[in-house]
Amino acid sequence: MENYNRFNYAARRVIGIVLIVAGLVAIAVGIWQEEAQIVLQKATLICLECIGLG
Amino acid sequence: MANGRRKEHDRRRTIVQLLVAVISNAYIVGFLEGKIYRGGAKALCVPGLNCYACPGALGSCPIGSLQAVIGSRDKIFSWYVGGFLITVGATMGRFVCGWLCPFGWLQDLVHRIPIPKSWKRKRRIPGEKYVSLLRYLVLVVFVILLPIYLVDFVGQGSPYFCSWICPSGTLSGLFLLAGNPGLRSVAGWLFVWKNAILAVTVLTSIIIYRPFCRYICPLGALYGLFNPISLYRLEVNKETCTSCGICQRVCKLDIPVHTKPNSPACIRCGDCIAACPHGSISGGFKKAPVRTEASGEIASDYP
Repeated sequence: MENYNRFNYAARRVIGIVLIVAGLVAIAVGIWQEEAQIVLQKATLICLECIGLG
Repeated sequence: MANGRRKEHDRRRTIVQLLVAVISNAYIVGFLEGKIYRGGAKALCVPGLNCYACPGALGSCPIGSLQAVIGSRDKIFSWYVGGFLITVGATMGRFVCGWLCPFGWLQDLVHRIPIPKSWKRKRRIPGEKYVSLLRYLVLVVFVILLPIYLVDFVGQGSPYFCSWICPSGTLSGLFLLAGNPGLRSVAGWLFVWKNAILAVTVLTSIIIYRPFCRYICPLGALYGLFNPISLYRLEVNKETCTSCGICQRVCKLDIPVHTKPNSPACIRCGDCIAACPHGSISGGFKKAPVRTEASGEIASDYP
């Protein structure tokens, strides 16, 4: 059973916020490494594997 | 009273799911002409399972995108897609599954199909606990390991989850093939296999609530890991909760919400919140004020 004391709540919230910040930093790193371009290239061609043709 | 609340809640969730599905698949020309959107927005991921091969898709599926990046040469991790998944997961966890995923919504709609009384809807299958671990296996093997290590002669991996399993992509393919005779001519055994998976998923959804999300979906598996720490969370007021078990009885996933409100299996549909007769369950980004049983007033449970 989860314990809903104040420390538990605060600790989980801090972990959540740290992860969100880390995630946003990772997105920025990914853009810098041109991963968004890889996604764009893949997504703008018909993905034959996705639809079961390739 | 609780029934009225549940109906209103259900209506609200359906409207949100409909809006998200329409907005993320708003490229109407694609459906009419059997082609896909090729604009810059496709570099952005959408939170739910929405195949980028869907003719209407304006964004990219995060699972497809992850395989595209880690399957390319010299990459074993995607900062971009990994960061997106962490950000969304840590913000709302599987709230995405319950409210923002078009393929989840499709299963919700199919589950509403009336069935004969002799066919009972099942909230669990035998070995549910172990079968539901399958989604983690799919995530690790088909989404991560195979695209990285099972590569062709130039070092390029395939999106194996999309190729062999994903029924969302198959559904997209049906739309594409309907408007594109050239594609129809190359459909082979893999297309038949994937359509069989789609058919099983849809038919099973009539009896079991969201079979794909529960047992197979790697995106749900990943978001579920964040449920216990995400900023959006369910809370149970222990002072007013009587452990009557109504939350578990209305939960189509059979989760004991009063003891495990942030279970990794919970898609945060909110049915339990609407059904609780004591108003003891709340969901939100803030530690919510709760209704005290004695007075019926709203009070904060902050000390």
